[in-house]
Amino acid sequence: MSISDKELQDAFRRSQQIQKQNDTSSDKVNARIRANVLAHNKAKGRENEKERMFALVGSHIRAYFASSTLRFTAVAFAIVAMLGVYNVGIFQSRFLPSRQTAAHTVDIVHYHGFEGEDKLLANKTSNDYQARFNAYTRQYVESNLVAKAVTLQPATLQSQDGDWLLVNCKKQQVVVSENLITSLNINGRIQGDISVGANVALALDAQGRILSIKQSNKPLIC
Amino acid sequence: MSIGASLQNLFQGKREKALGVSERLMLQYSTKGDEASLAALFDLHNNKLFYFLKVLSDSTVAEDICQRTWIKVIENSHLFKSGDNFQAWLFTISRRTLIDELRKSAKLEYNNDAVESFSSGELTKHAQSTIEEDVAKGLEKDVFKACIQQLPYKQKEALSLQLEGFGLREIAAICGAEKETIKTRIRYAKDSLKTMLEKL
Repeated sequence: MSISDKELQDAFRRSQQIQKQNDTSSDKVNARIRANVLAHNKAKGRENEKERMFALVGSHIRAYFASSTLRFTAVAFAIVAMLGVYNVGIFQSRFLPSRQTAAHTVDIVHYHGFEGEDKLLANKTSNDYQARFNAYTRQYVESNLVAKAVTLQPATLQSQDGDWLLVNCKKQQVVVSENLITSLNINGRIQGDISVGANVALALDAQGRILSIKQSNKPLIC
Repeated sequence: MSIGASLQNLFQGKREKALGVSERLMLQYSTKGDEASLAALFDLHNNKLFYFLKVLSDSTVAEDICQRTWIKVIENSHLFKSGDNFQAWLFTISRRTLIDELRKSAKLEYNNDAVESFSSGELTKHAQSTIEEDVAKGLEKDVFKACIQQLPYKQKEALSLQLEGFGLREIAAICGAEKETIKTRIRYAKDSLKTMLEKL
């Protein structure tokens, strides 16, 4: 005998009932899913509440900014602020005439440069940076040479026919021509107020060339 | 009260009357989000849903999909509209979720031709031996479920939905197939199932 559709339907329902009644694991699964689903619903409810609150606050703010009250308030505030600034300016110009607002008194000016720079740059315009750079470089090279001086000899400056004559302890005499003095002066190699009879210290390089002449306060002891 | 308003109320009342318990609960839930409505809906439908999913997969997958389906119901409650059939909506969600899951785990090759071209004789022969073995071992007490599970996926899907009480049009909408195709699947499924049950 063939099974009818009705019997199939009944068998299906019976099978569902079997699952519901006999299968204990199904009950547990059902309870577990139910708890999870309801917990999710609660969490979503809290989330929605937060969103609703934000939306409410947002809508209030939007409504406030869209309202004509805010525009009138803003315009009134701007007018009051402008008038205030204008009146403060008027008051200051009328009643505080001696007050200097922009001038400052400066006591000390720190000048950064090196000693003798003024002399070096006497003929250079302050904006001629190329000339300043060259002067600085030359000064550096000269100073470097002096620093590398091999010997330092004491000597006495004397005069011979208008030229400088330097006499050291060994009675060796060096006549310094006017050109050399000029050159040494330009390069800042003659230091101090040197006059005839003064004791000087001569800085000489390895080849015995004079690098600098410096006034010496110590007496010449040979 | 104006005539227009009265007519409107009348129509509204008729519409509300036509709504089933589940639909009303769902509409209430989508408006208020209250736990009681959701719990009632769960109690009304979860057993059927779980059985449907169990027939199409196994207990573990069915549990997972069941939970995901209800979570989707919560998340998309605003999409449910008055006039929709809640159970059909629920089963559509669960079916799609299950197919996604099966595809992801490569358990299902959703190929129409392969499923439809299964010969009823071959199928019954194969299923018969499996069920008999299980029943003999005491592994399967529910013979009907064991038999329906042996059917090809699309056939057992369509037949389960029909036995659940859905009409052909609704099944076609849930499965996203033509009405005639669904008819064919159900006919094949019934023939195979009857043969299997008669032989046991």
